[in-house]
Amino acid sequence: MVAYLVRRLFGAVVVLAGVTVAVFLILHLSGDPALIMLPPEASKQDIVNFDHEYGFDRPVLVQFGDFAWHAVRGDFGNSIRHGDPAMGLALERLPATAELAFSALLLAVLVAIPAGVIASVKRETTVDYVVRAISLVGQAAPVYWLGIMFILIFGVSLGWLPIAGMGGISHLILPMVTLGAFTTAKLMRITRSGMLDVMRSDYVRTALAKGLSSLNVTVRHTLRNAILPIVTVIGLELGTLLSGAVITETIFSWPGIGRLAVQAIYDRDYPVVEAVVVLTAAIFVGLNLIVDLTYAVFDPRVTYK
Amino acid sequence: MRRRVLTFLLAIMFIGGVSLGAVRLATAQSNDVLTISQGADTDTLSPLTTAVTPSSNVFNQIFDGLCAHDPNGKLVPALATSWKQISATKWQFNLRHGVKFSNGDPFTSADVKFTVEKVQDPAFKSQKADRVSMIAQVLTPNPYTVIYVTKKPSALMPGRPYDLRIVDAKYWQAHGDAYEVDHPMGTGPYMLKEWKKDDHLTMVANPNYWGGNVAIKTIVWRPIPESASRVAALQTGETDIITNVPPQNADQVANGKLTKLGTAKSDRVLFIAFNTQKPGIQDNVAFRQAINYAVNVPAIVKTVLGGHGFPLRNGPLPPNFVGYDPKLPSYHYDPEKAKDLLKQAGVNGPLNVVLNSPSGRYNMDKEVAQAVAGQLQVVGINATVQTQEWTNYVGQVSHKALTPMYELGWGNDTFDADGTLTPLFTTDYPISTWGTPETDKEIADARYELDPKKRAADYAKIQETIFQQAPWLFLFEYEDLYGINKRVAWQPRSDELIVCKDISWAK
Amino acid sequence: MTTLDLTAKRIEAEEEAAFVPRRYQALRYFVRSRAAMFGGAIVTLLLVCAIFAPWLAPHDPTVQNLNAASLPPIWLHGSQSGYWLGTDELGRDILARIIYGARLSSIVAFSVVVIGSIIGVSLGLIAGYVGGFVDDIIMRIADIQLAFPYVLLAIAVIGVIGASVYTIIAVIGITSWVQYVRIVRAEVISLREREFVQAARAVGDSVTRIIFRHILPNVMSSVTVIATFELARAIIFEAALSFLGLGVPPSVPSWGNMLAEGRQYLDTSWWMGTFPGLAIMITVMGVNVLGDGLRDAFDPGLRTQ
Repeated sequence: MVAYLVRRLFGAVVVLAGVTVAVFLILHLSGDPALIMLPPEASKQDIVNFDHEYGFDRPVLVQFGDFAWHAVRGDFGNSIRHGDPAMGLALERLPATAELAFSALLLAVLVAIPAGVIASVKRETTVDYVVRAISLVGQAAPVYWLGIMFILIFGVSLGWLPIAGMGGISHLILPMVTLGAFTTAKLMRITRSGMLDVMRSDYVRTALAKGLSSLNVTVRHTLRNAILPIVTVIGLELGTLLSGAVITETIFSWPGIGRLAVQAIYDRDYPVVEAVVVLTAAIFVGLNLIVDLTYAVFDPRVTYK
Repeated sequence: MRRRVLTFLLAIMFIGGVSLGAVRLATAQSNDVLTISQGADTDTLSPLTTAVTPSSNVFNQIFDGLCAHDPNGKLVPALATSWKQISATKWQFNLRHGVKFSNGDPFTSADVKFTVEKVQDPAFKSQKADRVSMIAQVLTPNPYTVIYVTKKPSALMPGRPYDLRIVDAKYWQAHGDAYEVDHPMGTGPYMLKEWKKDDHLTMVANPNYWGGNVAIKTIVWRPIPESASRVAALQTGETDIITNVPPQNADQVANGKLTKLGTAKSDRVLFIAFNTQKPGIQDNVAFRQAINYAVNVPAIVKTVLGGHGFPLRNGPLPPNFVGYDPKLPSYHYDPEKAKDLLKQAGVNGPLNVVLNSPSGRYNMDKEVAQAVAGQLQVVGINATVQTQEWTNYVGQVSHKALTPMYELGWGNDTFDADGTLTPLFTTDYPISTWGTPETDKEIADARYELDPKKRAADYAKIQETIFQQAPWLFLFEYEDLYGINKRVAWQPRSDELIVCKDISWAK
Repeated sequence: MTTLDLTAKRIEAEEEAAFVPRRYQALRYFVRSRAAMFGGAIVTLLLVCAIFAPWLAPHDPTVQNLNAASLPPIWLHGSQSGYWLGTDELGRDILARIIYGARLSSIVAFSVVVIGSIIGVSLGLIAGYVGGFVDDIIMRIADIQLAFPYVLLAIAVIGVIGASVYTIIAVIGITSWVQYVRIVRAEVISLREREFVQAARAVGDSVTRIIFRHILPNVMSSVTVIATFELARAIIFEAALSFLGLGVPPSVPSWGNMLAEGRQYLDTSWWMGTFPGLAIMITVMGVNVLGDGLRDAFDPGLRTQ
């Protein structure tokens, strides 16, 4: 087990390093920040000066070395647009996105798992069809279409819920449902099919034959065994949610890290983009690690290579 | 065992989600608070670094300049009570007495000197440097007098540096550049109360403001980037003023239960430039003129902008600018004439061209480009619209890489011809793709011409040339659309600035 | 016929059965499932629209008519005959654009599937069969890919190549291959130890022959299922990129473009955004259902998704 843990940790570090290199390379391939940071009236000399000030005229390898040296210490430099430390800006925004992502995931788990269980137990009935229909639609609707429909229906027409920015729980509801719709739908499907799989297996039939009650069998035996792929998917979906939050945050003016990232990318604000990408990658990798470990706890066979 | 681990994991997620969201105080939508929503948050609260409008609108409430513009672009006193030219290169400003920064520091000429020199400092990288580039020296003979000494006699004074906001020299020197981003110290009508970036910024009235009491005591700036959401927020009453209302929502806002539409003639024009500095059919003047006759601009303004625009077909300057020549002829819609001119230019069959356009940078930019392409089709030109996201686009524009035609917008809040002609029609400027040695000289001379009549004549001549040479497909001037809650009394301005001390509650 | 002969015949038959998956059984199951047929019908409709667009569309999708701008669908007041689903703000027929949009979505989605599957399956085969260091490298690259935000990738690629249909295919294709690698690799690892592969190795078959003749065909059923879901994901992804302004040029009719433009009109000319949204949803739903059906048909035990 320890060897497995060490191997996974090493892999995680490699991935993080890879992401850091990749983001640096891609940013430098994709455009000169001087042109966006300076006003359009800027002369050629202004542009040259700007590049020199920020060190963009040094050879790429030198720039990367400088960047890597500081990045390892958590120093990503200052935002070109704002002037504040880049990593500080990213960390500032992270709680807002975390709140949104966690809430969406929570919604998904609380709604999807019971729905999936019920649908699998009452197979081929109306409930089952409704659940399957919802999960199909939920996985097919584009996020921003959903978001704007919600704004128009619940915000403007009905006036029930606020639609901009952060506030109390009421501000969280629409963004949370918009972001969580896809995950909820997916989890519903996975739960249902996972339950159906296990239900057909021998030991469940044995349990039923032994005379245990239906509910008992359902929850204790079936669900416990079906839970493994469900947990895997949950772990993966958290990563999807973090990155999918970009569109939701834009529509609902939610001050999260996704919105910061898109703005920074458009501005070619290199330090901020690098900080955000590395931070989200670190979280993603960390979450995957946790999921893998959970998996290993449940099924030690995974640790043998 | 398994169940416990799983429950543990789920519990962590639950606690994480709930605790982060549980305790949060909503900003009260009460009668005393005005909420304004622009498409972007301000980058900084230091007034010396950036020239972008959404940022300026925020920190301009906290700082004053020596002068200000009234809604018609006329210079009025602010921190300076009067000014006069005392020699060809010297302008004297008499400063207001008894003004204090909100921490009690007195406002003196030393602050003005510090501000100008800070902006001029290349190490500080200010985007406003061009506003004071003509100032060679700032003299401060006494605490209430400032003299700007210009390098050459300049017709742009005294107005050009008008919007330079004065900072507290003592405070700045004590805390350093980086501190100013979040901790502004100004003489203006409002002070910063709190700023949660990208979410909201709250400011409160400055009790010691030299201009007296303001009507609105608390202002909340809540940026909403998505225009559909912004309009929706106005309609639900979550926000009181929104900028950049999309034209298709204008009627809805105008007729809304809670809302009304505010309009202002913009200082921003949209145009399609020909890259005459690269080889191609666009180098031929008959071709360019043909395009100007081929496009029905009033129809485009009517359908794409919903009528919220003003066709501008005789040149790059809006009619209310200094230097505009009312006697200029205009291009009009005449597809037959366009076809004739095309033949003159040597175009005898269908022609394929690329029309480059930004996407989402200016109101309806992409749609206008597509409409233009549709009309060019009628005269036998197959224009394919290519869009790019703004950063790449502006980069290519600055390298003169977009050819043969590209769309661009230009806002000039100096209301003076020079602010448009120099950057866009001088041969060597990065964003200019046309120019002749004669007009270069004429433009430079006009900038320094002090006699207003002669200056007007100079500009008339330049515009005549530009009209004939048609380096642009001249399109239109925007009409800025604002959504306003009926409880607010406010008239929008042409320079896209929101001056909060002029806003009050409707009776 | 001796017992030996019979045994030999049986081994032969089994090997044949392993080489040719339960294809005929699968097809029979497939045809019987109503949901799967529905999915198949949708995909067929998509392809029909894509191939026969010029004959099906009532108007040219790029022709503007400023006098007929923003007309509502035929059943509403203010509409004009001939424009069944209304027109957009430049007077272009919405139905025609949806039919041509099907063409673009098909091209993008199928290209993405081809590219993604070829890369993903190849790397999965290599990673699974060869194992060791090569396996580690491939899997780490996949992880890095997953941790990387697609927005940044899109902007970078577009910055280098310029926006076009090819760029979109490249961007989505790059993010697609990782979906295949994991599963193919897992299957290859388990197949590697099966008797018929061992037998082939013992007989001295070359590695290439083993991979192509024995392993690949058994992997194809999973790959087909994944490919179907990737088809759906590509369609949604194209729409998301268009939302962010990174999609195909505006002159090309695409559902993503239509949805992105139409979102500004959702409360005035709602038909501009709603119909492309519905087109996306129905197509994605159909493709997903098809994928489900295929998975059930090939092997009910394949619940890895």
